Amino acid sequence: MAYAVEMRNITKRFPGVVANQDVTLQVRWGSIHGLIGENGAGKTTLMKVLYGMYHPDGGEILIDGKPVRLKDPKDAISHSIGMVHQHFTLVGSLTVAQNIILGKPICKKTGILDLDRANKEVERLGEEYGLPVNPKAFVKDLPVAMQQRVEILKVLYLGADILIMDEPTAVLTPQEIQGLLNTLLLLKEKGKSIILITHKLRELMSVTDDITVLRGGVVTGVVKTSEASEKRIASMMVGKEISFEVPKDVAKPGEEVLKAEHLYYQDKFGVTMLNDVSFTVRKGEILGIAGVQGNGQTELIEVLSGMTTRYQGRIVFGDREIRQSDLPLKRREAGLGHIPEDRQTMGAALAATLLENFIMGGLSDLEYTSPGMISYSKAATVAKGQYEHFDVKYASLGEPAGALSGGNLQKAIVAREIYRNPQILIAAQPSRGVDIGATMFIHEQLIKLRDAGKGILLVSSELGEVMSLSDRVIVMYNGAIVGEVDPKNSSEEELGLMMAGMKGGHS
Amino acid sequence: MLDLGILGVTMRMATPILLAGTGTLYNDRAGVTNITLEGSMLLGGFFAVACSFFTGSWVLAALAGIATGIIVSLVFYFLTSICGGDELVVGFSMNVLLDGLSIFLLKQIFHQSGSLVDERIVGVPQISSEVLGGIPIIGDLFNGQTWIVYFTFAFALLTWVILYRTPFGLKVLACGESPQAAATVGVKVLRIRFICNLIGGALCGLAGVQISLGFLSLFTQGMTVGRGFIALGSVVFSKGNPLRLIAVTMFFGFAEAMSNRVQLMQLPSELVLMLPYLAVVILTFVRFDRLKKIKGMKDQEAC
Amino acid sequence: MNFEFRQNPINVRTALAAIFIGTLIGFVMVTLFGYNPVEVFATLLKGAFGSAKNIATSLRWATPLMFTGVAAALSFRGGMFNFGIDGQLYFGSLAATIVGVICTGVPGIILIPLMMLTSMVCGALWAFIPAFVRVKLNGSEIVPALMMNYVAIHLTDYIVHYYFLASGTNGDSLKTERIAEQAQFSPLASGYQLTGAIFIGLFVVLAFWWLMKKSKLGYGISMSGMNPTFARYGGIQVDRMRILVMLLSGALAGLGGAVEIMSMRWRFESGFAPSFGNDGILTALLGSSTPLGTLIGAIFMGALKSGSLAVERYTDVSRSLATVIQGLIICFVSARLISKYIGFDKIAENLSVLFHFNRKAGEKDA
Repeated sequence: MAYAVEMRNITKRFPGVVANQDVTLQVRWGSIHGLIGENGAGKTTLMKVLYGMYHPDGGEILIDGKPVRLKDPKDAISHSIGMVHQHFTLVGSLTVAQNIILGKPICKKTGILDLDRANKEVERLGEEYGLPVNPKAFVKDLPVAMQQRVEILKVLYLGADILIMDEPTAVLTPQEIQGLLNTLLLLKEKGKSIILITHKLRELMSVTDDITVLRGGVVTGVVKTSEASEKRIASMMVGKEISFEVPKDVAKPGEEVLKAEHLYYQDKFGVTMLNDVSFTVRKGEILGIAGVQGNGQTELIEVLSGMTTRYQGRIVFGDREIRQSDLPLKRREAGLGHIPEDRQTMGAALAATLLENFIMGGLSDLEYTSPGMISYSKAATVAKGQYEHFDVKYASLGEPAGALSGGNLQKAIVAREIYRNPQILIAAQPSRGVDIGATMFIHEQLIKLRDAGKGILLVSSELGEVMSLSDRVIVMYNGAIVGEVDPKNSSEEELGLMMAGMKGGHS
Repeated sequence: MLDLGILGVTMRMATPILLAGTGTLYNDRAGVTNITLEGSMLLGGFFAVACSFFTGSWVLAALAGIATGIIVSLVFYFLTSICGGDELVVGFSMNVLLDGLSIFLLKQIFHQSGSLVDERIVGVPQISSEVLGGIPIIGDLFNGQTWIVYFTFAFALLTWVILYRTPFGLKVLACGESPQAAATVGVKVLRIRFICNLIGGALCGLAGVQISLGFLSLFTQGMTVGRGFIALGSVVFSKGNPLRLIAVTMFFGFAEAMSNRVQLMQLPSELVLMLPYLAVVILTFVRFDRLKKIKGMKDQEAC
Repeated sequence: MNFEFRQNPINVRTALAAIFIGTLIGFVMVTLFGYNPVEVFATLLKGAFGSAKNIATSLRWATPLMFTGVAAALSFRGGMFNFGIDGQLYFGSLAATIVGVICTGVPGIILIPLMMLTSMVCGALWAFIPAFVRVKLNGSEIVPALMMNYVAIHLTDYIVHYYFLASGTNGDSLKTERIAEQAQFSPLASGYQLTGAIFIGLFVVLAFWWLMKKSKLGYGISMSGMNPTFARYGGIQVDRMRILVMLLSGALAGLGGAVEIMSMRWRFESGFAPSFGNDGILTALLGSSTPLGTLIGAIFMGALKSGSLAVERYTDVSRSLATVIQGLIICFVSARLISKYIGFDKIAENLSVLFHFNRKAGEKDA
């Protein structure tokens, strides 16, 4: 029997990055196939290729044994492929039934939508697959788990026999996850094939039949679930990375410089993103926060830096109590520096010049400002010196920041934040999308800052980075801190298990 | 002052606003920010008058107005979607351009500056019937109106059906609110937006016809006096709901009818003319969502 | 509907290409109506630059655009779209006129600044409402700002009609008495239309330059406009900047009206400034909202206006030809791909190389 899906030697390149290199994926009919890997391993890219959203640079795709060309999602749909996206693609102001029938409307003979029939059809579909929904409810009023149900029904309604599920459990509570996994098993029973993308090991082990592991855009393992162990998959996933050996002395931590106590935060949808987070950073140490992206790290940084003020809990910088209403300016004055994870929108104004970018956050720097005024020429001298020191390559300070390559821009941001001489530096994903040379350089600078007695909070989803730089590591999962490890005395495997939600590495 | 005759005037005054508003509603719901309605109305009105002048046929005149609106919307679509122009900037400068163009053409074709009044201009006829006029209130509302008035209200109601009860409407709503959602199930977003743009242009052109040939059968430079922007505001306030749009535009129509009526009395006409615009500004400050919330809280307390 | 506005920087090349195409289409239209385009174009040029007097007239029309252009440019730099410049201008200038009419006994050295201050305060007041809607009510500033234009026009008419009508008019033309003589500017040379107002205009442009290039405030404004998230991250209070920028913009609009009255009209008259606001917005859009660009844009628009007046006088072509050309130019400035399609890009590039001002204007100056 032919495979439901066979992707042969798929290669997909983006400018400067190879997202998929010679990837082969074989999914049997009526099975659940797990696709696992770290962030940036190329899972989503591969699936977007299968759904016709990206066009591969090499390789071929076979559906039910027949080679196909998928130009757009419509082609994929007509080959009965459906995709449940990580970020739901639903229209909030429409009802459940309207969302489901959008791609293939049900009409009366007059051309008017037959909403009664649509409602009945949706109800029937929901019952058939054990996904009961209220077809008349508005999607925006539904909780996340329910929206996901709508998303799955939408795909089934369009006649999908092959379902791609992109990180479906990322947004669900443990009980909801169990419900979803049951649904997947039911779908399998009905003869559908499912490709499940995840980086949570336990789920993977409990429902899948086969597993393909991706790392850095290449397949690092294909196993039958029944023959695999969690540990083995974790090591295939994390791999023996080239650990960036950063020469560093033993930390000599001093007094506490950043203290966070019982931080709680709910996002605008009312989902709890931070759940009783407490930790301290001391002078002269790097505290690493490891975790799969989306487990509350971004929100933690927003809370600490004052980009959001709708949190609860206590924050202390050095001996200065930070009030909840304190805006970023106050927090900067209290000694905070911040290398943001999103350098394109928060870390820089791409249309502004390099010099203007350098000045940000330093409006009280006496080197180049006087009351009310900025001397751009003095600032240029300072910026030139600092950029040179940080090896930022640019044509002129007058060119827009957007003209710099990713690595250079990141170096410029690091240079700016370190120049402000912060007592506490939040470094979020400091080496994301940056080449090895620049990464090494940034790491050296962070160590240097640590040795100068500053406190550094390093947040990264790159395990290797956290392990090699940090003096202590805490792991975040689902908005809470699930454990602390000593990076010198623990294996990446152990950490990988913690990141996948298995506390202490034991399931 | 408040005799029922004002109802008829309200309808007449609300018509161009509602018409242009309905057209823009399609754009709004499909995710296009087209603010050229003032200019389309003006130029549509101009070409309707010009066509009426030369052919003596109000049918051809109305068609000319609609065609003008469509051409304007095509130009807008070309400049923004094809050539990458900013919708606000292009919309703004097209309004300036079309205003200038109407004056330019008035001068170059008719050798008039300011306005064109001529007995050869045939207005859109008003439909009167004694039966209709005999019915209280309904008669006041609908008797003696142009067919554009009937069409406008009928089409606004139809728009509700189109948006919420047809496949096309479903796609429009999806394109405006979540283009990705539409695209992932194979809806062609750009094509839907193009169609909405055309509908918007056609209706704005017709709105211009009502202003120039439905009221007085003449053209004056800048005769739309901001009605396009009032229509734009109405769409914003009605949050894209056609029924709410009818209510909002009726309110503005009433404000305008009042200002016409009050002018005949001893009140200062300038203050009265200000009414419709002031009404829009005041409406900006009313937070409907908050009102609803307060009402909801009260309901809860009552329980 | 999406009313978020962020101006994309425009380079000299695009601007030149747009001016070229816009003017070309304008003259094709003229040709279609049976006029000789060369003759009309020559008249336009002569009207704008033909003699010292004509140049003075061009500068006279450029002067109000320096105020409204900077007002618009300032709001664009701060990420706001001030559509209400006309209203702010009317309201501010009427307030200034009233001061000028009442305080006949005050010496000019006090009266002129007093009138200017009044106009600025009232213009800012008028601009506060749309700013408030944007920042506090989370709505769009555009619709209320537009409506405030019409409200201002009718409100000023009312005030003039019922409280300050000039004696001898029966309400057929709405105008106030003349302002006190000591506040009336006189021409720099007799027979020329140019007054000292242009120096105030140049000062405003210079102040705008200073604000954007030298002050912390200007830095905050510019960063909030370019990337509000980045600005907030760096400790700038974006909401405060947005309100401030609208207030400043309104104040400049009001000032522009007051100066126009002191300089040219000497009284407030209904409809005395029919399109200064819109022209100011076009000026800023053409000049990429930079100080130098706005200045050049104002002079260009002023010359176009002065030239079109000459065209109307001598050739029977409507002066609104200028408005059409203006609108076309800004359309093409925004729809930048046009120049690529038709291949005028190269011509424009060659032209700008020829004049060596590739880096001087346009691009973000820094």
